[in-house]
Amino acid sequence: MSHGRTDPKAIAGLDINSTDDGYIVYQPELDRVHYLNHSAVLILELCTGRNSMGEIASLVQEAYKLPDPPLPKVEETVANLLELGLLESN
Amino acid sequence: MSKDGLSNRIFDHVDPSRREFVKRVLAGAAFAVPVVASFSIESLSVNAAYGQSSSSSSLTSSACNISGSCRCLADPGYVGPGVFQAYVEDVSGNTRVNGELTFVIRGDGDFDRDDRNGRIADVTLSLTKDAQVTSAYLTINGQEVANVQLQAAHGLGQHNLSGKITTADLMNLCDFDALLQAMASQQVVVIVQGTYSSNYFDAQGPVLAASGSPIIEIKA
Repeated sequence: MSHGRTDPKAIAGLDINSTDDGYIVYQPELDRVHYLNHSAVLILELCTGRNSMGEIASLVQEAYKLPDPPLPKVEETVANLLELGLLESN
Repeated sequence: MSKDGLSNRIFDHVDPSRREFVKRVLAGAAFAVPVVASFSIESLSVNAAYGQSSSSSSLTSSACNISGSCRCLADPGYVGPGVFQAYVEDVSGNTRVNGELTFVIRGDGDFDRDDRNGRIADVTLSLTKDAQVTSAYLTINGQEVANVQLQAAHGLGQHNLSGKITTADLMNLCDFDALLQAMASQQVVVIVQGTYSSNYFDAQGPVLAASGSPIIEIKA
């Protein structure tokens, strides 16, 4: 179920490097560097083009054993990642 | 449920080639508000700011002088850029080694203020290929104020490093907010030293707020 939205997909070939407490994503073609914490990078990894926003929120809830799916945070993060060019609409 | 306590459903929803990576992402981590900080490498105007930072102006008001005497005013906290960047190049005349460092500052909520060895910044360093880094540190007016702990990133050579600055790495400063103030006001120069083809290099550059950096707040 895609809730009427296209399911986001991470750009192919992203170079994700872990640091002790987060992740650095290099995007040399855009001359940009991004820092993501672990929650943001999980959301990025769940953006396979086959998971809806609701499914991603549900999976994040399950991964971190949260009482509710953090849908607003997921939507906000996905919108941010789309804007930065780390995701594309499927 | 898998043997690590993580639901297989999560791994069924990620690319099979990324499952091990996701497993490491989730290992022992509690949910935190997702943070994404992004900045352009190209948009920094390094040269003009470098001239400014290499002037002989006095240390930031919460810094100590070289003799060790301090004038520590009350700490009001810090509000300013959360991501900094420095382009460095060899000033020794021995090599043409150059590269880029990024500093992602940990704000309140990420940083345990009671931990005296708490992390202040995550650091990444990329230098020209075959440069072997031996040390990196931050200076104000030529005085060392913080060591940068560097380690080789997974699968990368010694010219690509990640690291950190913790409270234990600070010196000649009243507190880490003083370092952040100095970084935000372009008073800090980073120095990276090492060897390239058996030649010593001393790469230096000013630490500048990254373009598009989020503003963070660290309470006193």
